[in-house]
Amino acid sequence: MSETTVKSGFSPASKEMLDGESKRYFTFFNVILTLIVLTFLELILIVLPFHHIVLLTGLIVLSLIKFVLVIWYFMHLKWDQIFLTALFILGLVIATGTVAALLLLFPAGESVMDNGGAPAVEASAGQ
Amino acid sequence: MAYGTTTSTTHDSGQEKPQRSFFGLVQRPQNGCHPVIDWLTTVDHKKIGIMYGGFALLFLIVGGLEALLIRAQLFLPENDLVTARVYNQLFTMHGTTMIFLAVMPLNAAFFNYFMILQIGARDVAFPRLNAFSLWSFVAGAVLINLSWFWEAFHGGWFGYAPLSGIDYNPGMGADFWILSLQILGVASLAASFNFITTILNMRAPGLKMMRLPVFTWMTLITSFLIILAFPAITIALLQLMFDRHFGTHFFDATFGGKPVLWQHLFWIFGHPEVYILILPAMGIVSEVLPTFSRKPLFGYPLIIMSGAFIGFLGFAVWSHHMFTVGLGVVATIAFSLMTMLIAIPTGVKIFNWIGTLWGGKISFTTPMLFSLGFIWMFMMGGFTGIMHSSVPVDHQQQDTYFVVAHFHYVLIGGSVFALFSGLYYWMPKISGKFMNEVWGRVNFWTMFVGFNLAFFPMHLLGMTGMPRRTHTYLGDMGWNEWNAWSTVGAMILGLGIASTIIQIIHTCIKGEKCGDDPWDARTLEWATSSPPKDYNFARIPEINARDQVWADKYGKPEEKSGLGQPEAHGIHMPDRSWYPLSASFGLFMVGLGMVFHKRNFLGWDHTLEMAIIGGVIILASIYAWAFEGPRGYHLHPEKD
Amino acid sequence: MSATAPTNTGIPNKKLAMWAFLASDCMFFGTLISTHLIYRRVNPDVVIDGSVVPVTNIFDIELTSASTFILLMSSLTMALAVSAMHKHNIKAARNFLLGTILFGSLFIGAQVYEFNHFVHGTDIAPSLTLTNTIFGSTFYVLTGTHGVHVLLGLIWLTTWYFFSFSKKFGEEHVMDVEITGLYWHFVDIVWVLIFPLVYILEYI
Repeated sequence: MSETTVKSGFSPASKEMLDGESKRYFTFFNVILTLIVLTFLELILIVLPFHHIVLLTGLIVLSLIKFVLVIWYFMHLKWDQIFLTALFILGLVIATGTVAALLLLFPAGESVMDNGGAPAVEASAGQ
Repeated sequence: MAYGTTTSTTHDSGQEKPQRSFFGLVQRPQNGCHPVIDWLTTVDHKKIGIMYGGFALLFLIVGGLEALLIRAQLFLPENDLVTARVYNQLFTMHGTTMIFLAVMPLNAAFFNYFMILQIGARDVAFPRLNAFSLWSFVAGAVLINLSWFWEAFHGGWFGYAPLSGIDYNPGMGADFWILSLQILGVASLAASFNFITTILNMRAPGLKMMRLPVFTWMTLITSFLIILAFPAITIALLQLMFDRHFGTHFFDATFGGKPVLWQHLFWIFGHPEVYILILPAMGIVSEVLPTFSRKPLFGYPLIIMSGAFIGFLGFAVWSHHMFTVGLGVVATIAFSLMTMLIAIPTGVKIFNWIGTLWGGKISFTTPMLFSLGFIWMFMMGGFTGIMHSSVPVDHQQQDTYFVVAHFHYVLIGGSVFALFSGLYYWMPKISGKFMNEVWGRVNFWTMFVGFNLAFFPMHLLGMTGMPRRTHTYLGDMGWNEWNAWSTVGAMILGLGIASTIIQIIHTCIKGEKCGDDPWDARTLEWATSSPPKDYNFARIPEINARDQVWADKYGKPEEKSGLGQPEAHGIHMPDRSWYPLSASFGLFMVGLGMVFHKRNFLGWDHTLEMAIIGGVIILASIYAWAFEGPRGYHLHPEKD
Repeated sequence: MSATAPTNTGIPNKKLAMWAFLASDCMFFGTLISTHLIYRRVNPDVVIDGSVVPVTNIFDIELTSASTFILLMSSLTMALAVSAMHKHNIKAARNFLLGTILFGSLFIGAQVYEFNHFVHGTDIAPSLTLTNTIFGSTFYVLTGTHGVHVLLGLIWLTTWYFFSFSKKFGEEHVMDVEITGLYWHFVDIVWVLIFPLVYILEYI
């Protein structure tokens, strides 16, 4: 059975472990396929004829889904104690809040040439 | 409780030979090695805590001398004791030293020594990483103080760009500062990961989170603040270093860079940093007050939640350091409101501390005096802080001595007083000797009077417009008297601090022996001997109450602790290791090499090679560290 | 304390510490990404040698997309390697580790190639260096820092690969490999954010 694959420092794995990991094998393949599809969708956004705010939102949503997929499945959070998820979300929330605040604090530049570059949002407050 | 002798066996998973380090050149240090080697390679949290404390007090003196020179220069108008350049170096180094080399390590000393005892553990989760934190702190501390021999940084402890950029700061001072702070950041981060894991994972059986002492809670929250705040300054310093030496334009306005970004990134770190400085102090006070009121802490859950709230909210207020920068109305108001909000949990804590005292049987021991002083002085600092939160008022106060008064009230009146309270409270446990009460009280009153004399006038100086960070002032501004009194006060404060340090040393040498629980206290650290044995607890107790030691003495039967399991094979202790020290040395070499890159170091030209060799040393140390493993030996206490 | 010692949370010490580190690393990359995005907002025009250059001329989205897919694949092989370790199937784990190292190296190779191209310039785009624009500064430092993280991960993975042949490689290392995997996946999800926010953003 597993004589060739089990090294000297390892006892054979338990049945629950083997079963669990086998199920996860298929999950992982589903996840990678989804990730590939989502990445393709992100690339397709480039050629879609919508307003760039719509495209930007779509881009952020797609990458968030990819982010969550990797965290939840590949990084095992689905099958681990909820505390680890909470711990990571703490860091994520503070980081996201800081990023958002910083972006709001720096209004778009004065010379905005409309070549599809950064969003031309008016300064939200006077200087 | 009397402890018998312990026997130790080396338990090397079957092998009797001790491991060898540094490619087999030396032995991995074992029990009974030379004391110097013992202290250099120890992974024992108590020894590490003592070393943190020792270095912290040393740098408290260094930073204090820098402060006294500042005050001496300001004693008279148009004084020329020091030049403007030296003056700027003094306040830069004073701030950096006090924050990173005095208060933070003193906090770390107490975290290391007492948090582990309070959770009923034998050591931290990663003992060698703990040693690495200590030695890399030493590396950073040495590096920044080396700058005095070449060129100390003169751009303020907050190093605003573009002043700290290569155009206005072409010398090495800024580089010393940048690289030292990066190294110190590594030290703090490593320690925080360790403490978080330890507190969450290594508590004694039955020690639920809501039974933890407040000091341990504050250690946990502070550690979270550190791991989330330090990355911001790491990146800011990285970007500054790239601007200075690799020609990037992060803060270079001529290429579209925004110098104000430096301020944002710095204060995104800087504001949580001040909570990192004060929360441990609040934790200490929350231990001392109940002990000397013989009452449990009032509103324990509220104090913890307030601490967590302050920590979390502390990430949302950073631009209150930038009200006069011109962020725009909306941003300024948002930050002003968030800042006012933080006053609420802080106020909650103060009321809870007062509630603890109310109706208690108060004994005015030295630690109690310092903690009471903390409540009052911190409150005053808090009031001026609330004043700052009002933007129009801050417009007058910013960059004046009013701000200097504010933060010294919270940092000295707050942090330092609480830390000294901790010193007097816990020294009997650390040294096994009583600190003389009369001497202690003299020190307290000296510090109290000196501190207030030094810093209260600064409120008035600020309100009448005296600017910060200027090396002198004209004689007809009406500031002369208050400056003179302030300098006198600073000298008195210095005397008080020096006297305390002398008392500590004297106590260790000649103090009167004390028992395990000299204060009739409440928490687990008092269940050990004074000083505790290497293994802390012969048996890890089973916890059934908050303030378990108090409950064991005076509580109901069901609250008493269980005896705990004996260790069948003896108590497992982690082995000492050379590698935290060597990795820190490598880090030091990298820092030094990078500071001196493109220059020569004492006539030696190959500083790039120094940095590279340092990097190799770090990598090799990490590999050796991983492969040597924790291993360990066993101790067998003969009696419980 | 070994990794299998009982803990209050039931989470092994090293795993808890690694997740705390990853939470911290979120702030680290968040700050770098903020810097890049701020400067894209503030300076939408990238000016090299006096003329405005569309970033889309500089970028080679096909190459970057390919390296994105490669990094995703490395995440798959990493997850499979950890899974194999849990099943104590060392041969499979070793192969998946090798796959991860391969894909990771390809990613680094593509990054290096891409940077080289940018620095040398093409027919339609002038040279983009670290110092000739603020875009260069933020772009190279952000992606460079990510690249360094990948490189450190590769060194770590390669160490595991070779150590897996040693007699000392045992059950206690299953958790350690899982932790390496967590780090590697994190490096991947940072790229999952960098790719749209730095590259695709320029095209929409």
